[in-house]
Amino acid sequence: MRILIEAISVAAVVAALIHAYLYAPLLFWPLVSLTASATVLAALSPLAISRRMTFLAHAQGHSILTAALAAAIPAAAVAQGLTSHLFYLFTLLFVIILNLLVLATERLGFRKDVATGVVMSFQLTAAVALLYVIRYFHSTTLDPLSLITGEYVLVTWRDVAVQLPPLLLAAMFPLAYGIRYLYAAVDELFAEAVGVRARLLDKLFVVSMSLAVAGSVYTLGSLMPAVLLVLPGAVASRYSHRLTDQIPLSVSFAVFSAAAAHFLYTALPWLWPSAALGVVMLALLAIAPRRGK
Amino acid sequence: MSLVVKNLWVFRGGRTVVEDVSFSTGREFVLVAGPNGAGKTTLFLAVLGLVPYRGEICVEGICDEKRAARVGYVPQRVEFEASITVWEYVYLAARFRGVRDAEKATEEALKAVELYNLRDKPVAALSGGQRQRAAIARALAVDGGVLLLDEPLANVDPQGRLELMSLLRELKKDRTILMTSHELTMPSDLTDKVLLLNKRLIAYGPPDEVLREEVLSKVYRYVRVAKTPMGYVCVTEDYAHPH
Repeated sequence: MRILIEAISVAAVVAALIHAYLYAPLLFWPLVSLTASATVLAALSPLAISRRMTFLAHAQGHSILTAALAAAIPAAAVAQGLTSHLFYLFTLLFVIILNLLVLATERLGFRKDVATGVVMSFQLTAAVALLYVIRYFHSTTLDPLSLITGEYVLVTWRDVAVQLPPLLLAAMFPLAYGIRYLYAAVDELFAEAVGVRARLLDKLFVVSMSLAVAGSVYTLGSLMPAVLLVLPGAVASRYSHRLTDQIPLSVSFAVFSAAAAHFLYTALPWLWPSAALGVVMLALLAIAPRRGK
Repeated sequence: MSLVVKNLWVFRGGRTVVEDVSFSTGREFVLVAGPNGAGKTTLFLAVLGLVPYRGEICVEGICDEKRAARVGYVPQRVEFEASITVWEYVYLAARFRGVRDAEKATEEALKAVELYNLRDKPVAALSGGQRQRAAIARALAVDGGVLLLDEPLANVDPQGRLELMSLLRELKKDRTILMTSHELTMPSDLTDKVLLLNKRLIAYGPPDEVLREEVLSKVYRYVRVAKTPMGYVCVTEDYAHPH
């Protein structure tokens, strides 16, 4: 089953890349970027689900919006756009700080969901304030909407080159610790007893999540990374009860969805690719077999 | 001796949870008893090195943190919602612990608890008794002679209990087994010693010496003990948690 799904996904994305290269060259690099972003976010998705961090994963939508808005101000101040290294650097810095703020708030004695909610409230407040600061000071250089929806069709190979380092760094965590982290979610105490340092992995996971959303914000916008941190893992969990299948299946479904989103966008240009990707993921979830069967 | 604990103190959240506990045990089955909050689970966590403590804990002569590699552990509560098969549940633990031939250890452990035929089933699909056996298999795959079982009889039906008891009888032949239980009713051929804990060590010795009303009444509000041909039947009630 897993091999079949992986083969279909690879075939779909190869077909989409060939199609983009030959018939829609402007969409080739956006598709490369979309596939790379979806792959890394999907690799983290089962970890967020099993570790019960889906609320925190969804909070990434708020984190990345607030961080990107905050980063856009210094970037705009020195006449740099949303694809500049400066913008990425500031976004990354702010999103890591906001995510670690959740763990710090948790240490004040709040449960994880409450701590996430408290930090989200701060982020929403800051986002509204920052949107108006941008409109007031930088209305001619920045469109805040592009931070929410992403700039898919404007993505070039240079943008992909800027995105890849944070995405590759984020991918290191599921590659190196993915199975250990999933196992820690099954039984944290026992995992610690056999040498898995679950608390340390929690922190590394949050940093990886931050890197992944920061790396994908230009292509996916600030909302869809949160969706990709939850849906692929949820779909994967419906197709297999093997722990070791979760990450490969999650990535396969995300890659397939990216390819399908490309074809959907070329057929229905009003359907923005990141939204199309979400539609495909939801369809995969709807047709998934019931768990345990 | 397989497990030696000397002058153990554990402090958690500014409270003393275990207070100056000392005991030693060889290849035998020890029932760790005591009311809620007596420090039974904390004692296990200290043996595993998962909580800071003062004192000395040695497993088969190893007294530093490396001793944890010689201890198999079955926690009180295990999350079974996650997607994981019986094989992965046991095998991955052995791999993380660095067991040399993790596959062979997994196979032997699953055969020992008679779950090898169910190795591809999701753990979530197992019955209560089978889950406990899977947890024991996991501990067996990584253990080196000392097995800590934290409330393994909780949430297990009567048939599952009988199966577990039978399995523990086999395992105790070549292992040190410490098992916590709220229930003190135990078959006499299984239990070699009873360790009665209430932060401090109240009593430690053969069941005949510890499972007596005058001893148990030091930590329980209400105690009735009857010795039957099968073993001891004890009815107790915590001070903190009366019915």
